[in-house]
Amino acid sequence: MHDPVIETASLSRRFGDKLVVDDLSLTVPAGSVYGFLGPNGAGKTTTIRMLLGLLKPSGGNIHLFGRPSRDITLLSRIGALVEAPSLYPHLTGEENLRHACILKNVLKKDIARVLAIVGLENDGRRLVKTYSLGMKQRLGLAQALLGGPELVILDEPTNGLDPAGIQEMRHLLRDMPVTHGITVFLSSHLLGEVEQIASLIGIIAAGRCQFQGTPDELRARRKGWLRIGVDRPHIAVQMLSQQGFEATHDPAGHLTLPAADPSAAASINRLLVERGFAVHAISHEQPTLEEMFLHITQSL
Amino acid sequence: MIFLRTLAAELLKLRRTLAFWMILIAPGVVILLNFFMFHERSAYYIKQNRPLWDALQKNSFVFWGILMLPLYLTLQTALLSALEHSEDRWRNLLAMPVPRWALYWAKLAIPCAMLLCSSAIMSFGTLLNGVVLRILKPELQFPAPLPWAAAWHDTWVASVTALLLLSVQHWVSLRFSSFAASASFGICATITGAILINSQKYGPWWPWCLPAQLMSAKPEAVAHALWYSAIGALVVAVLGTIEFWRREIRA
Repeated sequence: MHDPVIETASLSRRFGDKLVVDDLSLTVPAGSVYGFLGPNGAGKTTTIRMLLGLLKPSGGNIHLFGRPSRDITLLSRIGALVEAPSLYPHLTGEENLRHACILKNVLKKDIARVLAIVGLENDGRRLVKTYSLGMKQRLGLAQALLGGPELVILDEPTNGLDPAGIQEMRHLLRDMPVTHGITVFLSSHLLGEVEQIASLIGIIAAGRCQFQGTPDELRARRKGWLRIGVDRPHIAVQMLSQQGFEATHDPAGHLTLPAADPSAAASINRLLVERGFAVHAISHEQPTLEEMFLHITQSL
Repeated sequence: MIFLRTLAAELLKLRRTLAFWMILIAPGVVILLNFFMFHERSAYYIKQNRPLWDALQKNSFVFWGILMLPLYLTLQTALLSALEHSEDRWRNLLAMPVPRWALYWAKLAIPCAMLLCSSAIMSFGTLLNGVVLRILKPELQFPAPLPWAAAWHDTWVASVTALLLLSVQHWVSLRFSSFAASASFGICATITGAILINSQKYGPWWPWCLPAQLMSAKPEAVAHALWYSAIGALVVAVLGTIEFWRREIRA
């Protein structure tokens, strides 16, 4: 595993009485695409604003590239897009990028490179007020990529994009660590979106980190259940209970055995058949990642 | 170096803005009004038998100093700040690797430069008024040597005496995201200034009255206005920088 580019320890932030971020410890290794997931109001944007120095933490600390985040020079190694891109509509796309170039102390020639990356090379001379939302979002990403940052922090980068725009953005972000050597930290409230591009996932709910790991580790947490179609289900439930299996049945006559191992299916089937039950269906089911995400975030 | 970079970025943002054209429009309106006043009421000014250049310049700067300049700076600072307040552009601007003091001072330097340019346009436009009136209204008999020294004097005195109100207005417009709040503050302060202008007690201390001190016959009143404005502007700018440095950008 590479050295972390972002490391927070017991990070917290309070607004009045409300604890919006609570004891948050994140580790984002270099070269990863880190999906920072959580429902609306979970504390994602507050965390990102703290990472960028826009808000001060109430407690805990933040290290970027191994150094305390208070050092403003670290921002020159980071490209950021916080919520919607904040562009100047009376300037052209190129002028907006030139403005960022000046502030980041980046050569003007980099403008053509980043416009090409986001596919806006033919629109740079148009006023930004004539851009579609998707184009603005891409220009915002181009701005974040100016100067070849080592880390880009993107807050809900696909907000307001149509499906085609979302797909384009997804391709751009997924390839960044490989093609440009950039670590990507992106927040989203949509697991489906993050799942496709993230090499690491952090789930935050009610300000606290609920999970941090790879998508495979999240999948491994899934506990499935056996679903069995059988006649006389209420009697079958009693019988299975006497045999030490926890089972319930629904009105449609299906038995559900939670947290059962798929390998248990054969022995339970044999037991039911031996006791004279007619088994007409048997399946092992698992929750989708989306269901797990909802379970994690809504159970608080 | 970092300040110059930030200033260059701020200058770039002026393109195609109303704020940029206001540099010309605000003094232009006063110059035109003054021109028509002298053109239409030439008999009155001949009868007054006052030094004509002095009358022309005083006329211009009374209107400029008491009303137009404070309103102009109110509008300019509000328009410039609105560039960042709109769509909460602060969140990405302040995530740039630029110290906040550089941003605050670069943003202050822009209206200061605008103030200087507009005051110069005002002074030298007034001279142009006299030259044109000399042709169109020869009976006014504007004397031959143009009062260049007075024009330079008016330019820098008007600029320096307006620094304090500019510094206050700059902080207010950066502090409050509402354009209406910033504009209302400036308009109320200007009206208060117009009321206090003749007060010996309060007038010299009310920042919005200071530019009108340019008209004062007493050199000590002008000197007071210059020093008070310059030092006051510096103090307000330092306090504003500290507040801006500590400001949080909330969602």
